[in-house]
Amino acid sequence: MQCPTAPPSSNKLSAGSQHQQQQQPPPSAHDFTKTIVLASTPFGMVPDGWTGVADGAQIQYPVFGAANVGQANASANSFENSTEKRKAPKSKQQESRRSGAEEEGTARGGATSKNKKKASGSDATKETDYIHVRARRGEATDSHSLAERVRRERISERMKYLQELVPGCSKIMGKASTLDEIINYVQSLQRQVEFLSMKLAAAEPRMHLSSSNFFDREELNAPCNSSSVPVMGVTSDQLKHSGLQLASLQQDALASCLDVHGWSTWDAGLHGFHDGEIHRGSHLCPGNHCKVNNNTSIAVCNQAETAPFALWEVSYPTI
Amino acid sequence: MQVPNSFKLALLKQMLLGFQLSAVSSNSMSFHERKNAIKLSADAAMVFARGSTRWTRGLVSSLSKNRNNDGLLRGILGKKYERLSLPCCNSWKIPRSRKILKRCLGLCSRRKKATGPQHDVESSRTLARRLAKKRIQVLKKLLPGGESMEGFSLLDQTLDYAVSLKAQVDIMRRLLKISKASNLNK
Repeated sequence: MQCPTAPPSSNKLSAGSQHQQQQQPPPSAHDFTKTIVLASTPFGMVPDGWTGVADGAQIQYPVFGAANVGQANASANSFENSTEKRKAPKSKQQESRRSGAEEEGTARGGATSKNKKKASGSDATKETDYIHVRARRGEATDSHSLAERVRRERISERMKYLQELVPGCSKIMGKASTLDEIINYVQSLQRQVEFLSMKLAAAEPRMHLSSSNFFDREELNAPCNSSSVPVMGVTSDQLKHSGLQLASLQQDALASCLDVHGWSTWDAGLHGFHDGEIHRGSHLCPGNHCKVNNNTSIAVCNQAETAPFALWEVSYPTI
Repeated sequence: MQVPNSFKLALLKQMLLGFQLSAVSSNSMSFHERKNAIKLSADAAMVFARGSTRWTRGLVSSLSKNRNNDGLLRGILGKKYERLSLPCCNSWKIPRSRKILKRCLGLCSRRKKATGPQHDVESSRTLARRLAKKRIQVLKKLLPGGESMEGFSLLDQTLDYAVSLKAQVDIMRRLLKISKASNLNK
């Protein structure tokens, strides 16, 4: 078997590995061959920190195991110091996936070995405090492969989040199909924005939404929490006194429009304004419907925090 | 859903501000002008509420290409406009260098294919990869500023953009509901 990558000096490779984390490493074409050779090497018997040194010494390549996810600063120049600590912040996913053992580069002088992922008695490596990426069994321990694996895992994590976001996408397996769904979703959202702006434009001259005394810009700069009660109170007073064009129902509906949980202050201000005409149910509790029991029956669904797809369907049946 | 309330509030506020500034309630605008003004207000409000991300900057740059939008954009975004319209570092160099790289790789792979063993049936893996690549191209065109993004950052920004779009749609729908309700009452 030929030696796929035998870098002459470890210095160069480490410098290269630094760059690995920022670029996309090209897929290694020799992974399979490497694994075959590695599988036959003994664990833990690694003089001078080289991995994969079989009796025949067929492959020698340094392993820079701590392929950090772009967060650590790989100090490329201090190889000789084996006790060097790279205290980079560990991301959550790495905590859960990697264990404490590490695979050190050759010139760092650490004795390393290829480890199984969850093997109990196979590892003979020393533990340090690095961010550790463990090569799985049968997988190459090349720095390229490790960095690439980390990159792949980040991407798959993002894909998972996207799958959760897009309704109906969690059943879909396969990268191309999920990407397809994501594209459809984003396109549909963009189309909806167009459509809604068209509808708003059609409804606009009667709405008088652009009346200047509707919102005072500075007042609503503060985030809406319990400490901003006076702010809301002032706002509602302003609304009252400035002779607003909006009907009272509009304001109330606007309040319910913004009525995600925790905005009790807003309602308190408007309650006084409306002389208690409005019946507000348990809208302050999350996950309840809020019914504005006036001449019209607007049911504003405040389940904004739960399943988005259900919200989509349930709360806007009329549109 | 994953969007904080402050985001929605800022979005709504800036959108209404944009309506004020562009005076959409006046009767002097044509339907199309009004629709464009509303859409611009909505997009600018979304940008304001989100802050500075890659898609935000891409959106601002694409919106400001039209000279008419400048006034409204500045009105809504305020001080943030300057910060957001700064081009991100080497944003034009990255896609160019990637194109060069891909061209080289394409040439190399084509040479290999010409001389290497001929396979009639493409392996399923490369087929899947090709499909995924096509989708990624489409996604890049969809996402504002997506041309210069790759891989992980593309997906990350897509997630961000989709969530913000959803919030925007949500707010606009509620506004529409209000108008319907008020019209019923009048």
